[in-house]
Amino acid sequence: MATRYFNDLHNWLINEEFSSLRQARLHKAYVLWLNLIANPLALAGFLVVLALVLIATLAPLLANHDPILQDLTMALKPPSPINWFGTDEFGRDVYSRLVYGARTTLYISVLVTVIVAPIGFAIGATAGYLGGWVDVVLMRITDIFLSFPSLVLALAFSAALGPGIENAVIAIALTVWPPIARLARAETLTFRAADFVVAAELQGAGMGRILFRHIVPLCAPSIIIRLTLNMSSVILTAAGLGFLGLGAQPPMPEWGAMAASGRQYLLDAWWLTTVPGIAILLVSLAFNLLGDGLRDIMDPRNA
Amino acid sequence: MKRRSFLMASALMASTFAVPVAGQAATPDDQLVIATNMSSMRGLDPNELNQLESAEIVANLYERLIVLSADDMTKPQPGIAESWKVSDDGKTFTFKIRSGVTFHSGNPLTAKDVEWSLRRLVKLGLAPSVDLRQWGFTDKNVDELIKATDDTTVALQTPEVWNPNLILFSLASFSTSILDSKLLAENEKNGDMGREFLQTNDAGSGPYSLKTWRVNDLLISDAFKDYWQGVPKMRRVILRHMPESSGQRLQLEAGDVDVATRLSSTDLAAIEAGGKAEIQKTPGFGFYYLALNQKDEILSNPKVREAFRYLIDYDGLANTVMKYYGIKQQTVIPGGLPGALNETPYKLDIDKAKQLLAEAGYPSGFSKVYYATPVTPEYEVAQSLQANAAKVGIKLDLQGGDHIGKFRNREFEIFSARTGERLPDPHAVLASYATNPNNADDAKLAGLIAWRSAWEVPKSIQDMVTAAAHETDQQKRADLYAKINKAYLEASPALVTSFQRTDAKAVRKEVTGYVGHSTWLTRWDTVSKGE
Amino acid sequence: MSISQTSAIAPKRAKAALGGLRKVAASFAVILTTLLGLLVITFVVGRMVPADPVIAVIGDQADHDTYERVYKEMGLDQPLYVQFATYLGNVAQLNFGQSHVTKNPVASDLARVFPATLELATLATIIGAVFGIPLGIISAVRKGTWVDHLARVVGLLGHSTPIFWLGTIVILVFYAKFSLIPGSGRLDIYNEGLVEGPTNSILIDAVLASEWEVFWDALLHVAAPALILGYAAMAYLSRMSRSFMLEQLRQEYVLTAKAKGLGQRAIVWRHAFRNIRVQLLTIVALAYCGLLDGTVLIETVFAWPGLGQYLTSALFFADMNAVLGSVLLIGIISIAINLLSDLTYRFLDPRTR
Repeated sequence: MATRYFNDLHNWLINEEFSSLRQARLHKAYVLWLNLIANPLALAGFLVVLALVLIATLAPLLANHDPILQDLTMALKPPSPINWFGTDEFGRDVYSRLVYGARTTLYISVLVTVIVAPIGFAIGATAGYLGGWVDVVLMRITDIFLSFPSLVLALAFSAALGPGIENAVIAIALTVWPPIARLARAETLTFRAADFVVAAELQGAGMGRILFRHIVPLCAPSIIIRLTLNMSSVILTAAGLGFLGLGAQPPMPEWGAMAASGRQYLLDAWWLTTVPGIAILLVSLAFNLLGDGLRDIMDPRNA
Repeated sequence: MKRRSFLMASALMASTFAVPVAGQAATPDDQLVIATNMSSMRGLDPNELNQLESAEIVANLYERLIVLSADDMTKPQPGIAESWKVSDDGKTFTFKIRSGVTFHSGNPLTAKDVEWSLRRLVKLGLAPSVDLRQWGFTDKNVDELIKATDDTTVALQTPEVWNPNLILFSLASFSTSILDSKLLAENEKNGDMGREFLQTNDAGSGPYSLKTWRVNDLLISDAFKDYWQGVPKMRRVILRHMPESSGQRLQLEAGDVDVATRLSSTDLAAIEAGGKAEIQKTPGFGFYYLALNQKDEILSNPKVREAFRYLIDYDGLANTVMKYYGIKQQTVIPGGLPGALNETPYKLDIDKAKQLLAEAGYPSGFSKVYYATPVTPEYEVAQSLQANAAKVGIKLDLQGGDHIGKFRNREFEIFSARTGERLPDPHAVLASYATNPNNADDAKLAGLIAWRSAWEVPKSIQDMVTAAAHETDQQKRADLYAKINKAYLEASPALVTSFQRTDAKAVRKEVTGYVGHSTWLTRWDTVSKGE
Repeated sequence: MSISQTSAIAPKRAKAALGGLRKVAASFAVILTTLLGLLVITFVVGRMVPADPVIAVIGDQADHDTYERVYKEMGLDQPLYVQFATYLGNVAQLNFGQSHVTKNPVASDLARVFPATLELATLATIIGAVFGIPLGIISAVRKGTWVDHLARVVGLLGHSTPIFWLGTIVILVFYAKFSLIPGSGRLDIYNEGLVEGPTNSILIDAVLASEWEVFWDALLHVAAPALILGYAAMAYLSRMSRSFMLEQLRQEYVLTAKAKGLGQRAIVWRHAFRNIRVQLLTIVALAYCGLLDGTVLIETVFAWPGLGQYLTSALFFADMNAVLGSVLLIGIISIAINLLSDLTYRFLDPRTR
């Protein structure tokens, strides 16, 4: 019976003769999903990202120790049945810190996205839509930010703002928005003269309304892909900042900082640096695979 | 064509990895290689720097009137001053300058150079000038008070009577090094007394002269051929910037370096176990401390201050993080100095701390911002305190970073760091920890950590510290210091000390004569190598 | 050539020259405003750093009088805009001020540390290009085969690996465990000071001085960090060249050439590669810029005395002049490389000429 239900659902979703806008949207999403699971690498990326979200949400259930509880008598113990990934210099359980560290990573990525997507879009779309000197000024500012290598800029900003996870997020966001703005501008320019935009203008729609109702839906896919691909560099930058002591502050577990403080004990406790490093690598790789896959699906020229 | 370059590049890479590295051989027999962390070095001008790594270099490029040997810090010995006399009123010191000493430039060292150098220290008025300024010398009176009476005699008058050892100890500090006044006069720019010249050059008479210095990279110094005590055995001493502890350890074990100076506890333990090098723990004249701002209502409660003393895991830290970095000490006179106390009555006691907090009226704790510098072992100590405080409900928001500026301006709640004084006498530590003549904000006695913590030190303690500095009878002085130390221990101080600092170095077994010095004056000319 | 002919052409030429001049002027204005923006940002950042630069100079224990004196000496008592104006004036004369940490003029510090970074980044770019571009092209040609998939995974891995972590693991395995590579720094200590050359790049200086042992030693030292950075560059370059090549292979001339029976190798290397070389040059330039980022972390790991380490330590010690100088240098280089690749693009690509 269940199979039948799914078959029906599949047919309803795959049917291109939409009976409603909702069906059309769901259809689009469903086709995307079918494409995604047909691409093993992208699917793997998707699953790892999903796992990250699950681990972060279920951290209290998954962790078998308190991630911040210190026990100096248990310091630097190698992996064992009790401490799966060993303990750190304070005797804290590395596995539990890793699990909770997923929250930090997710927190940073989500927050950066939430900040950057609207700002990048607003600046880029405004520049593209209005043109003229607004365009020149906005793009000049964008270029200035683009002319710094992103880590150097993030480093300088987070040093200026002081250590701390919120400041790291701001610093990273400052380096991520310019490419988004550029993209949004380019996309806006292609739609600027389209009939439906002109029509909307003639009907007296304001700029905000046009950008929101017409341009956003059109730009969204490419911006989402871009953000997904960027996510890995966000995670790497965050880890790099943590590595230099500028990200999350103790006792909050953060993978970059964990890898960095483990370096002190590298020769005697290899697990301290190795384990969080692999975690960063996995998540960042997953976002790259997912973004790559999404781009293949949505932009077939590159496939 | 593309394919060929591809192949060539792979071949090149393969060969890069296939060839074993020849660098595993030991360092040459006549060279000493020291691995160090240069990132906090601030130049090599003896009158300007105030930092351990630079001080060791300056100690070997220059010489001073007085020498303090590493094994007996409390006995002043002749250096550039062959002999000295203290007048009966205790205020005039007359130094006889050794003849036959030449600077690296070839200029002879005379009493004029001594006069010029000591005046320069006071007149520049930079950080280390406190070594003389604390005894009452100022840029106005120094020309009067420090004078070369002839080519081989220097007379130094103090504005007040101090215990003579205090003055003599100060004249052994790196900051009172004797500079080549003639050379510096030739290289003076806009009346800078040779400051710019000294950023990259030396003007000393010490056993070594500066050859190459690349900031945060490398320093090479060569033995001085005309050194009056004979050419040192090590033809060359090289310091290499290696900020990573594991890097230092690997190179030490491989024999690429002879001395490693910035090692983590675990690396030190591993080196000790490895048997190729010995660990030197040089006690320093300073402490790891916790400062509680007394402008804060909660923290100024004596019971709360007392509670913090039960939240430090002295024993746990002593066996792990602090194993090589400190010796348990819970009051303010460093071990080995007159008045030092060997007992450590406090230990980690969560229940006791809880009880004290309840008595103080904070049974469920409170939240405070806690500043600490993110360096080993200070940050580990801070994180350990943070974890213990959480158990009694005190939530410490630990913020790593460089917060010394805020500490100096009293803009903090809780702060921890370590101090290091360069005077082998209880006075230096006590002046900073236990005197605060004016606790007002605008007094700006920012050099004193008691003032920074806004702590009204009990008057009885302050009076005793002052009296002891002027006391000329050594026995009476020692008794006084014992009393001060006891009083501090019982005062529930706002500056909670936990460990006396020690500086740990690993020295390879074939190296002899490299002896860590408590006031940062480790000598290189006594070093030799052999089985 | 007769006079009438020239006079007929002259106005046209003059017009073209004027247009060119205007273009040059416009791009100059663009560069200048970008530079000014760079300066403003770096200055603001430099002033916001929470660590106290005065204490960085005088040390923790100095008294208040000393503090005040040095505070004034450093010009910190002036209003911000005055400080900025002073700074601008100095920068215009290529004077970046004095570093409070090294006590040297920042300009001479930069001249000392930058070649080390340049050496590293250049080698890494070469490694990245030599491996990445062929890999990208091969995977484009063999699209969908295992070569393509493998190349994609290898490339994405390079994109996803935390460089500082990879460096640490390489040190642990290849230096600590197997002693296959030398320790940190640019040279073994006994080779220090043998070569003091004009370029400050040890590799080049050693060749100039025919110090082959020093050259070999320097090469061994640079190998690991350069390979790690090169891998990151390779990842980027292979992905980009793959998509460039794919686009070419879809073009009509390829189909025509195939129809004419031209071999695939000839089509790819003789025709398609030619058409994308300008694009490749651009992305190599971009990769080079990107590597300036990577060096910040890798220099910390390998104790490489370059610009990245100089910058991070300057940030930590609130050495504002040094921070401003290095960030500005990095910015200027990025602008210059972008501009250069832009120009070559225009010059080499017939479509834009």
